[in-house]
Amino acid sequence: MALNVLVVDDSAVMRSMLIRTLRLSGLPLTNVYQAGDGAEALSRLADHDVDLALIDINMPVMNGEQLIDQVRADGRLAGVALIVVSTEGSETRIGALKARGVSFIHKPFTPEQVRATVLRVLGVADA
Amino acid sequence: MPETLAAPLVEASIQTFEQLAYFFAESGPDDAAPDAIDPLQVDGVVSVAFCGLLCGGVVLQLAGGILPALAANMLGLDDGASAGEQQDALGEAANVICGNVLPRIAGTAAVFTLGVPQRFESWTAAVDALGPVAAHVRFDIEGGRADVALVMRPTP
Amino acid sequence: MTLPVTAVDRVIGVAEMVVSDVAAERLVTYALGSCLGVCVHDPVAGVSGLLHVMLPSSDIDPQKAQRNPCMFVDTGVPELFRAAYRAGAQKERLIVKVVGGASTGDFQEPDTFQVGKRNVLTLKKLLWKNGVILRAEDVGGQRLSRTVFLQVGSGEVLVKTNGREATL
Repeated sequence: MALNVLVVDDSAVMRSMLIRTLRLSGLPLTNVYQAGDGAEALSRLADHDVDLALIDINMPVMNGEQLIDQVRADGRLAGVALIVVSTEGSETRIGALKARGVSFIHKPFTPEQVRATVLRVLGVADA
Repeated sequence: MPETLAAPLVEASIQTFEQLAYFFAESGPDDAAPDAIDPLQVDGVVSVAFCGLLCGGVVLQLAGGILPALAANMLGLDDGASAGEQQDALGEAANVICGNVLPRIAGTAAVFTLGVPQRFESWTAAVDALGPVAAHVRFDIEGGRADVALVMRPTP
Repeated sequence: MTLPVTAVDRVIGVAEMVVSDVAAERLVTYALGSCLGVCVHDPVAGVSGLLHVMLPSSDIDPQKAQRNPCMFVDTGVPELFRAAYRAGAQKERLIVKVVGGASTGDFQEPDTFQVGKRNVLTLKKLLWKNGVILRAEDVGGQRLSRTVFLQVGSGEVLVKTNGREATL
């Protein structure tokens, strides 16, 4: 297994936290790409093969929901697993995301929660 | 201050400080107004606006030299977070407090849109820009101090 | 797994730790309240260790920490990891689990010093800064007494909480 991951968040510190967690989780990471908003994320997705994207909701330029709309509408990106990582507390909005096959990690997260969710989404057994 | 707003603000703030930055935060005495702190002691002030069922914002001020520790703890560094990383970390902390207090006061069915974090020169400037303070809580953290306000405006 | 103390049980007291590579041994520490039981296990080296640590920070008494680092989280946990490495464990393979950190108060009597919560936060910060993610935790709660059994060979952790058992 070789894993290419895209981390999308307008906070560079938050991106660093997520990437550090992924690296410490024992996942076979090959490439880790970053984007500060949805539009940048689409550009990364066009240029690189990505297996998993971690996506914030509240971002400038293009927010996470708009990004997910675009990804889901593009058949070439059908294989990208999506996890929203957000402060979002509205069950209405979280339910709508989950109905579209998107997993959810609530901020503030612990590294252990991120690891567990990523392993579950990727179908990797916890060693 | 309405207890119904202060209690959820305390909960959301403590959860954020603990899980985001491993800070042990204790509710502190209301012995000095956040705008009465020596400006040289203030690490930074940031706000995050929200709008939905209610509109307003969360203001977060750190003082006493704890902002470098906030950023370093989030990043997993012993020290050495850059000034930009420190401001980024402060904004993210305010964003997380904001996102976590809203369902506590408006229920989990309500949908809100959050703005991006805005830096301010002072607590007063932030509050003046956002509107009247509905709740203010303060915390003692590792020899420093955090002030958090919930600002609410009439819904447009 | 049977709970009564057996010939291969090694009991770890308060502010003590044991690291072992004897597969048949079981490391046991009793009655964790606000204290933490920190378990490490390297499945390749067959090494396990258990630390029963009391307080978060050695800042309050550096001399005591020097005499017994296992009293404090910030000195005891590095000591546990170093001992595991000396026994052949490697950081990349270590599975770390934590038990304890309960509040000693309840709604009638507040837990003024919140030692349990401070212990957990100090441990998690230490691990995060040193590039280690917990594999499992059973922490917090009010007025709980937890006993930990760590099987050296398998790394299995059994927690008995107020009489009820669960694998962690």
